[in-house]
Amino acid sequence: MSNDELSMEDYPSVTPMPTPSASQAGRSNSSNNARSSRKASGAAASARKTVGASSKWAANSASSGGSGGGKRSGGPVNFTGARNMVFMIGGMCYPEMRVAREVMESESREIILGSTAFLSANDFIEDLGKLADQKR
Amino acid sequence: MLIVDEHAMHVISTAVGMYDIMERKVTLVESLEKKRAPFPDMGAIYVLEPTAQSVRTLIADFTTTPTTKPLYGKAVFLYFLGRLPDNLLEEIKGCKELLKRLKSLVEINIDFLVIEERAFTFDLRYAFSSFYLRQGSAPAELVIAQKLVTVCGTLNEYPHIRYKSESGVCNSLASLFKLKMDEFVAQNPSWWYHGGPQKKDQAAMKERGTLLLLDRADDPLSPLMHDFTYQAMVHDLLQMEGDKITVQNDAGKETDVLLDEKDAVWVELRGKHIAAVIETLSNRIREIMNSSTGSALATKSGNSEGGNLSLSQMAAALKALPEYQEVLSKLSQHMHLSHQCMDSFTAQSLLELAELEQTLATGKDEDGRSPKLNDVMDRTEKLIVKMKTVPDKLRLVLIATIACNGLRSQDKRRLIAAADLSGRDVRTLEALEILGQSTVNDNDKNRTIAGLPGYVRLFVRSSTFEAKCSSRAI
Repeated sequence: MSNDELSMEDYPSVTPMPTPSASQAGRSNSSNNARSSRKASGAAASARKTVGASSKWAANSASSGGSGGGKRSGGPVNFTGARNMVFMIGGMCYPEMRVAREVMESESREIILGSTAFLSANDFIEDLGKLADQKR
Repeated sequence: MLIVDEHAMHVISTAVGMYDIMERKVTLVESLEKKRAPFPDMGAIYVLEPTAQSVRTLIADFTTTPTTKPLYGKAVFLYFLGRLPDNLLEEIKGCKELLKRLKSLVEINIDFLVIEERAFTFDLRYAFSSFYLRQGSAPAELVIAQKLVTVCGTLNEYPHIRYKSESGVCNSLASLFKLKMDEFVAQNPSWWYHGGPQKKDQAAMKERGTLLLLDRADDPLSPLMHDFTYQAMVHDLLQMEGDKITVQNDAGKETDVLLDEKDAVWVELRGKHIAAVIETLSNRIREIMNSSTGSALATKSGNSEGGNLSLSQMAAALKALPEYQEVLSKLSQHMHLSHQCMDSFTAQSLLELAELEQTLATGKDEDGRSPKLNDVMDRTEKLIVKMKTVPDKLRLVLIATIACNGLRSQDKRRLIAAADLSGRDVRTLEALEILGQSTVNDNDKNRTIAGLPGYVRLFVRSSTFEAKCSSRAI
């Protein structure tokens, strides 16, 4: 995962994805480096940042260079390129939402977050408890 | 008038308020489930979930029996949140009284709750167990797929789908969703999507979006960690009911505050660290106080400038500056909230706890060294004993278990004993196994504390540093 992309092995697509024609965007965010393809995937946050990076090629290849990459503007953020939707099954937590917002700003990509529910820590522990109850 | 069933009520109320509805000349909003008075002269708009129960209640509204007549007179408009199954459509067709009045029947495809500008939820907490127990077919997954279709329909997206391959539930959801989405596209030829063939009446184009399906089980650590940004803290430490929270204002009165997108201060500050929030709020309030009217008040009451304003000074300011009332009141509400967060923070000794959590999660302590497993376990045990409530202790044990990728048997026994966990609590801990996270790991080879990639360490450690700053500043 050191080349800023979401590995196809760990994250396959259902139908074939369009192939990248442009090379990696030069403006790679320093925080996008050094990601490993670990199973634990250290917080959905890392996956989300990669999604932003990997979709840059889609923007670069398809768009006619116009607003290239989307520099961070001072006022309302201008989103370029395709939308990314991230859906977390089992529940999402507020810090993850915050990270997504930060990525949206720094990458100028629109990220729509969704989940089956929004959890606080205690909610999650409760759900784990119910899972344990149901298993018996 | 508008009639909604319970689910539709949730969907609508997250998006619009009563005022918006009234503005559109809807004078009355009723609940489908309740017994309603007849209004033979009024038209009726129904917004319903496409379930058998709702449809049958709808039909009952228009069925003539010895005791009742059709409830509403002139015109009926039906809107369903998602796809209406054919059998239910047939039932509606079978109701003559309804058909006489029916002016339109539309599937609006909005079956999700919008909680923020770019965040939605399906409110399906009850289904958590079904995702991971994998007992036969999971109807909840079908529900999710259908709701996701409505999300994409609303956003005009026909996304590429990517999903976590190791996760069983993601796998099946991805295929289900593709099936349902393809069906939707086929059944709605006039619907357009970003990145698709150009159609008329189409808004500005982007490329085709991507939907990424992730599984909570991949990362059960994140929801358990304490985070010190405003929104996370408020939801974690204070009693909230949905978006609402009760705040005591300066006069000692309690008001309900709604923390949603309409509150500009909340939107601006919710992602910021609590220390920054308090600083920003103080500065803003001071700015107002320092304006000409403000300083007049300040000199009058003998206050000096500078330093953080006390809450009582703000109360005095509020009373004396009616033109700033609204702004000041909003700022002071947030001030109260953030102070409440900090009070909880101190009461639960969260600084020490957060320090330990960070060490567990990242494998490095605050000086950047990698502590030994035994030392960390000792620290954890000591802290567990100090903590006040069992749920908090359980939380720390869970964090330790996940961070170490399973505890050594003796550590597990130690920590459970220290936390005095009940049988059910221990089973809750072991439920992690169902999520794919082992609770016991006696493998002594290459034993490190944390298995998280370096990137997360960066993100996670920074919030501890800020937590320290905040505790010193306050």
